[in-house]
Amino acid sequence: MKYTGVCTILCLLCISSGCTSVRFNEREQLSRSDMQFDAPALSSDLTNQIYQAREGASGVFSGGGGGGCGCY
Amino acid sequence: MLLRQVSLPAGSTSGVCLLISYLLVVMLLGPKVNAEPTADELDDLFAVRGIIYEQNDGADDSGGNVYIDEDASIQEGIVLLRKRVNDSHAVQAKFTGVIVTAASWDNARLKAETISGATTDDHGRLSWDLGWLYKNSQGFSGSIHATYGTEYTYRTEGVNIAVGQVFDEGSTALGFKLTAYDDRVRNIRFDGQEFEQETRETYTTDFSLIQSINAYSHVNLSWTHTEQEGFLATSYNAVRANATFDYERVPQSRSRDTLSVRYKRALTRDSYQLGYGRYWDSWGIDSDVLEGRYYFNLYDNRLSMQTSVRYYKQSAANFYGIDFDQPQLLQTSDSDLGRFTGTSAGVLLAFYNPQRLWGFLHTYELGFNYYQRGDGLDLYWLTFGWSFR
Repeated sequence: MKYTGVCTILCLLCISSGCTSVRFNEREQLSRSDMQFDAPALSSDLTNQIYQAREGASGVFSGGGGGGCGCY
Repeated sequence: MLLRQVSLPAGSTSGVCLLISYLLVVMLLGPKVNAEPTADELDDLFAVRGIIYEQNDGADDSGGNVYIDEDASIQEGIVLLRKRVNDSHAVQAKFTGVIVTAASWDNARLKAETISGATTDDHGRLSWDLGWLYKNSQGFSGSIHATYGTEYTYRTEGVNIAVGQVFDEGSTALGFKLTAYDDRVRNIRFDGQEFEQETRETYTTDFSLIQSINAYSHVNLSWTHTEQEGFLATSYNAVRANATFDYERVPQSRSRDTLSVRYKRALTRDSYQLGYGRYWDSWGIDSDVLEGRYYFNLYDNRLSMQTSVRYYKQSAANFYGIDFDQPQLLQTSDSDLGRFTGTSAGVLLAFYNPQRLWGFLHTYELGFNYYQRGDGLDLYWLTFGWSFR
């Protein structure tokens, strides 16, 4: 399973690296605040923290688990 | 069912009504504006966030672990302060305070006080995070954070180092993050017995790639790997074995991996995001997550609404069980490690006020999320926030 996952992400990296470059002056839509991943940041942090406390998984759409317990 | 469960603390309803009234007046009477400018990561920022969280264990504690009352209430507040030092540097401080009311927690705490005389007056968690941020004109960014947190029976110290580089006029962004936590655990068991203090170490690496596909869409790929060593059980968790209750026992190490992919596309005024995540670990848990988000620009670039739906499915840990015939070498009945599905939906309203207040642009947010787990454990949380920059 571990090797399958690594192979999957390597394939995705290869595919995405072939994407067309978007020039700086063409990035107006991509620069919009609603087009940023995990915006607004603090709200995303809070929500991901809850998912990590109530699910066996961690790090899905966020940067991994933290310290402490968070179990109740 | 949902309406019955939602009950806000006294006084908060009038506060929310006042806030909504104020936002409507400013929105309708204010001048037309351009879209909210995207914040530079180093810009001055003062942000406050709050969360009210309720967890319902169903009738007769039938949700999650049937032998444990898993009802819980949590109120959490976060204050974030960031100050730009010069063109390339900024410093940041974040403080978090949490108040927890949980039946299982209180039960263990009271028993611990009664039987072992342990000092357990702490009902919550306090933590701080101090950081230094750097960014230059060549597209390189970096940050270092130090964190410290303390909660009932736990104390944690952590460090986080992140670097990133933007290539090809912003079309490609690569990021790497290393996080390390060192926890100290007071090992107070559910029956009040207190054993020697235990340790837990957590190391996490994150690799992230954001790649533009065209002028309207981009994709985010990430791989997170975590290694944990030490006391990984929840000290006050109990397991029913041979008609009596025993301690939870789990392996001393855990290896965890997550692969995520997210796609985001801009429409004329709105945008949407689709995501999929795959998780697996050395305890035998596999999970899949599907998520969709739609971002509505409701009014004149000032009022926006983000809606989200999420589906989660996980398998149980190898040593999970509700009832054991005999005590096992490894055993847990923690419902978070069991097999279940989870469906959640949320909405987040954000209001951007272009008129400066005390010299700052300000944004208000109000969010609500509801999560229904297939094993009968339901939870919802309300978030609210203010940002000044």
